[in-house]
Amino acid sequence: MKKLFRKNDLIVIAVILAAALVLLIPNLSKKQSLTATVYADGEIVKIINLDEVKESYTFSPKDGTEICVENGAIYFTSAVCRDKLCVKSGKLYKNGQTAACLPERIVISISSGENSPDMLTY
Amino acid sequence: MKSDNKETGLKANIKAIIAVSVCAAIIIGICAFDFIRSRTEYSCNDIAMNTVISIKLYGSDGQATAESVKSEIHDIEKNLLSRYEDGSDVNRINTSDGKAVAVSPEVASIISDAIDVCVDSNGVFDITVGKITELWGFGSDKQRVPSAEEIDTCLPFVGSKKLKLTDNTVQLGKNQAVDLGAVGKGAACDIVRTQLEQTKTDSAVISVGGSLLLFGKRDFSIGIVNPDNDRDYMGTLKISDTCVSTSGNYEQFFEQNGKKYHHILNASTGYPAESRLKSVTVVCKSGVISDALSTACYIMGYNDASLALLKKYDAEAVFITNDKIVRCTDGIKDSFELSDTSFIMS
Repeated sequence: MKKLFRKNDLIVIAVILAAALVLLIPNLSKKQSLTATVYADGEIVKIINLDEVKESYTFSPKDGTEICVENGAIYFTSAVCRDKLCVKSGKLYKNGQTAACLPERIVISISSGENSPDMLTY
Repeated sequence: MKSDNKETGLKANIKAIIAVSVCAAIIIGICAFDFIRSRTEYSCNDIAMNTVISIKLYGSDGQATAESVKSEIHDIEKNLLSRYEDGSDVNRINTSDGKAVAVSPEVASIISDAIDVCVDSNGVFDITVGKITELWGFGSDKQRVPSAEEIDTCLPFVGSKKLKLTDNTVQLGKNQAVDLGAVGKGAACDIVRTQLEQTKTDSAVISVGGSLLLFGKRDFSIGIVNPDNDRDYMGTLKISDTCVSTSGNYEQFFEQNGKKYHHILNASTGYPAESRLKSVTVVCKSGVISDALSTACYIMGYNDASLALLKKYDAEAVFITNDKIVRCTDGIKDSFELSDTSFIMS
């Protein structure tokens, strides 16, 4: 009995499988990039892949509040609130970290899906 | 010859079918991977109860469920637990001038559970410490060290045994005010659990200002914040279907004349607890109880009395002492993993 697949057929199948793997790998690893999500009044205002930030920049989710984004980190740089606890929170750079300006209702949270906790208790 | 052609044609058809099936399966698989993930996981954050709310849901209808959870927590704050919101149960209790006040079954249950821990901690933790909490003013513009006279004036009126709770009616003792700040976040976790049971959520982890609800059978990895650097964690617990609360001296404090004053008050002295602990994390089925126990155990310190208290409520705990020694209760030892080696396991 002759073989069902010839050498050329197998090469075509191998190419298809390799192409599929190339497509699948970014999907599998997508979860692992360090992502910052910025919320204002409970709504998402910005999602930033911190691994892809080439040059640092700042933005204001609300008047008077400024957030700095750099490669691998994000942090509050100024706020209108009294105690400035959000600015004192410092840089966020790890999965699970959050910083918030409670009076302005702004939250920054970091996620990566890497081997780090699902949530922190404090 | 004819039969040869037939065989070749059949083979070509089979090959084409296999090739198309393989390609289709791969493409469907790639699409399904993203689709299923987007359908089964949903995360969001918000601010309520003067703290950060973080929600991670696994199951269908994640976004709609998260919105209803956020809405529920805002309602708990507004209608039940806020001291400052006119018309909330706690506000009405504190402005009742000693008269009996009808409250919701939820608030009655929270107060009842909290009082049990007040009594079992011999009064070092007490929800009727409200007047003294007001004097200290932690987290407000008015935070300060009260005079000894001010504390001595309020102290005799503290004591949950003087509070009358009958069915869903609360009556404060003379010169009392309730402060449910120590159990409010855990209470929200309990109410949200009941809410999630009515949804299609398989599992969830919800943080109400660091008090956690772990819903469902999924094992979650929970990081315990490093008391010396609250941006990081010092170890993790692998647990499911429970509540987790932490009390620590790093969370809310101020300094006056070079001395640090944290917000966990010993209700029997009126001053911040001095128990040689940095933090206590408690794991317990009930959010109110885990919140109450973490505060009570922080005040009591690591000793036989606090271990007996935990045992009574079938709770487990991780104690972190001032000299960075970590002590886990027996039932949780195997679930805890130290990640910061500057701490020492005992």
